[in-house]
Amino acid sequence: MRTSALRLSVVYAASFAAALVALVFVIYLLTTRYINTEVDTVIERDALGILEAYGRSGTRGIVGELDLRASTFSRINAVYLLTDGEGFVIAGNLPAWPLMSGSDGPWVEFEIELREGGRETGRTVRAMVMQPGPGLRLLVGTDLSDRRDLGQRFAVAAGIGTLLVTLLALGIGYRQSQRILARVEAVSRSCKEIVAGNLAGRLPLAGDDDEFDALAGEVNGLLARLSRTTDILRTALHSAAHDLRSPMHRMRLRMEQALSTANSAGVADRAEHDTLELLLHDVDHMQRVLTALLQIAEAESGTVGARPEPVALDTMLGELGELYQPQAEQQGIALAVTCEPGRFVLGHRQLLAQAVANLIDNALKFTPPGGRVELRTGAAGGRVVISVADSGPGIPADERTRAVLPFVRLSNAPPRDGSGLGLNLAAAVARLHGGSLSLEDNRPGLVARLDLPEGAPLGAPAGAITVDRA
Amino acid sequence: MQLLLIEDDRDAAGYLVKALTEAGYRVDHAADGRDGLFQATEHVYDGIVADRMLPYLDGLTIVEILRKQGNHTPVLILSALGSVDHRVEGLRAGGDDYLTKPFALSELLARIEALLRRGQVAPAPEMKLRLADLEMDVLARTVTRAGRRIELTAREFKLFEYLLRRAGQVVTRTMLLEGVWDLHFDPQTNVIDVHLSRLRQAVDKGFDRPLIHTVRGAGYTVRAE
Repeated sequence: MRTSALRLSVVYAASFAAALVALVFVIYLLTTRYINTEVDTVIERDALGILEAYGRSGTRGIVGELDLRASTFSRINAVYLLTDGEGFVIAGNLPAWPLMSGSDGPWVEFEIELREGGRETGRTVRAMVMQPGPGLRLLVGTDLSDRRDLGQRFAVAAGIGTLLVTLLALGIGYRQSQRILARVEAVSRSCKEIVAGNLAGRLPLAGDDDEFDALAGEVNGLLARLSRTTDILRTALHSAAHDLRSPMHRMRLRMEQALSTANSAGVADRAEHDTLELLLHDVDHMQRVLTALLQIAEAESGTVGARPEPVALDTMLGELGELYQPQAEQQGIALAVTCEPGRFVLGHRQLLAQAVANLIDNALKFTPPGGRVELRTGAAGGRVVISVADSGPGIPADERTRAVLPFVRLSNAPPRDGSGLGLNLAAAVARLHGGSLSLEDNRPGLVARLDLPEGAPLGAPAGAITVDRA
Repeated sequence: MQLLLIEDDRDAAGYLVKALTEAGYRVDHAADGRDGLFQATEHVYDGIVADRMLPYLDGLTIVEILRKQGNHTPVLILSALGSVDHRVEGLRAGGDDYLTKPFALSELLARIEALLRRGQVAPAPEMKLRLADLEMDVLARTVTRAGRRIELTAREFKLFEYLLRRAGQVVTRTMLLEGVWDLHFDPQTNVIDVHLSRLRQAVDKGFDRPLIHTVRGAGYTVRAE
């Protein structure tokens, strides 16, 4: 996003500069066109005056006029020349008839050399050529060097202007984009907090009624609706939990009561005793499934109430590895834990621990004796991956993606003691933490990867969490 | 030992009163929150078992009021709300333990026993624990039995310490998971049993009288026969 801010101001500056150059060029064109017509009009008017003098008193009249112009008043950059039939100069300020290349009716343009401060400078002259009388040739013109200078001045003006505009546009563009960035970052931070489970959070309003505020207002409306729905869902889940657990509770108490009666009755009620034991086992299984379902529902709907806290992965995985180590050894499976220290996830320790425990449990359940289960962490690009790899039979490729969807159970999953929802719960916990659970081929075996956003340890400044990456 | 059971479910309350009485407790029963709070303040009990959702006054409010009155009777909260969040709420309100319905009676009895013992224990915990010919030095982190040194891993030591501090009581698997590992969920396999059998190997192997005993259908207990 930072680079996009810079890119934006560069684009602004470039377009401003281009517009400015175009504008200067157009003004230049219009100005030269205006000057050209102006020059022609002035020459024509001047020539008319001289011709009138010829009408009054012939060649002498012209000479008089030219002398008058030379002595009293002079048009700026005026050029005159009167020659006779032989080409001799009669009057004017040119030393000789100039060389001309082509003409446009009476109009000609030619170059003259002018000595100025000891330096020869070439100048362009535009002039009108007339024949006032037999043998006479009259040239009335204007030195156009000013017009050429004008072009250079315009070029310089365009250059300086472009430079100024570019600097200004870069400055303003950068400041503007910084302002926008600050707003976007504020919104992004709030969004992260809200996604992390703080549904009561709202996007900040700057109070200047701009498009950002309008957008934030809309999003806040959506959030209000979302948190209302979540509240309803939470209440529904809790009452479902309550309404199912209470009768199960009575059922279990009655069975235990009956069991103790059967026990005291002695050997005669052996069959009844066994039935009751099986029923108790079933109730416990129901309870496990219910608990898992409720946990999945809570995690999937984000209705977990507690605030997330930094969880140190090396500690958690070390403890879980150690919890399952004796079990693995008993099954003849090598359980290895490889964790790099200093990795944190912002989340719910109990849920994360349970997700990983479920994965280890699963791996141990399906790995034959002599096999290997590896628990490791890896981090890259702001994500941490907890992987549990086993050397068991694995899961067919087409079932792997399905296995982690909410409430989906695999068709060929063998009957087990647990809720049978271990993978689903792990996936739900991953999603709750803004991550995902993926199952991959371990060749041979299965590797389950919990991909989670990396968090900062407790006490780290909130800003340390990178907000943007353009 | 005198207990107060606050539970609005008449059937469940009936079975619980019967079971607790059979276990040797004298039990008073209150059927709603208001009556429960009244009885809890009127009489002195060794422990209170309170349902969380009650008519008039819920279990958490009762605990909060009692604690504000300076009443520190141990309270076990029973609830049909079973998430970790609910548990945390229950303990924060001043409850000493939290048990989700449905539960095994053995679990309830073990937890009540632990709760009542906790109420009696001196504030400064013992640093040398003795049981028969075994001695544990908590500070030096050593265990000796009949003069012979027993080597334990850090976790085995913690597990054994937890059991020794509750010598004579029944300790359930979930109590061990919570107390030793701080894990508040039910692992699907009996990982705890394997840890216990390891500990047993270390502590009891080669001695005539075992100290670690399995309580069928409930958990474990440590006692000198």
